[in-house]
Amino acid sequence: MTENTRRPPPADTPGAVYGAAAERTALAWQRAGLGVVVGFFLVFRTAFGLGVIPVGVIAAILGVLVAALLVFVVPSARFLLGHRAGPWSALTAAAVAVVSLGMLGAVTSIIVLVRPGPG
Amino acid sequence: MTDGVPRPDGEASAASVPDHRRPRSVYAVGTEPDPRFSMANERTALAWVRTGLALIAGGIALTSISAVTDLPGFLDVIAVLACIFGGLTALNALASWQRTERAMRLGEPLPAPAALRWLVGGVVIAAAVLVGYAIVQR
Repeated sequence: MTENTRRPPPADTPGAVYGAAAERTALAWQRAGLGVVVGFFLVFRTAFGLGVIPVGVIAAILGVLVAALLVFVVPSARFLLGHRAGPWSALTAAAVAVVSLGMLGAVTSIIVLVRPGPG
Repeated sequence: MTDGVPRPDGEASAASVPDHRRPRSVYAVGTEPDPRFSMANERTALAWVRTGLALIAGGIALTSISAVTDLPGFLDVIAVLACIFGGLTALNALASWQRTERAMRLGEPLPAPAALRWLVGGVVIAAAVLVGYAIVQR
């Protein structure tokens, strides 16, 4: 019979003290990032489908930029700066992305509302 | 602890490294809280961001359905409002994170989530309008 030699870490190590909080936070960032990228795709698809081409083009460009930012820039910066990097810049970037998304969505809805119908 | 990592019991770290984190209105005051609380605050802000995203997605979906099925224009108005409130919700995430982090550093009581009542009220009103429209159209 093989004895399980794995032991819990000492109680004063960061892993034991902080648990999976950092992991949950990283996953929350991934969910938010995915949501932003999917949101831009939704606006892009809807705007093109409804014939609001300029909004669709802007949404596509912003969506690619945000995706690149989330995949390459923000994780690298936070990794390089370690625990001294606060979440402010990443949170601001996420909020600006969502505000842009909201504005694009509102513009799409307004254009659909005011343009003359097919009849 | 002398390695610059904050202590879990909420004491300020003994780090000699200068703290350059932004915004200064948050990090220039008080002492370093337990990192778990800071991370929970960060996740709460992200939850607000995702709520804003959900509002915007709902607005866009409403516009899309309204255009395809030729629904009345007031649904587009609700869609515009949902998109605008979604953006405002994301901005509230920033402000709320800042207020809460500052309160934690200063050891003050956490601020009440003031935007929550507006969010709940807005969602309830939008749902009531849509349900009313669905009942009238039957």
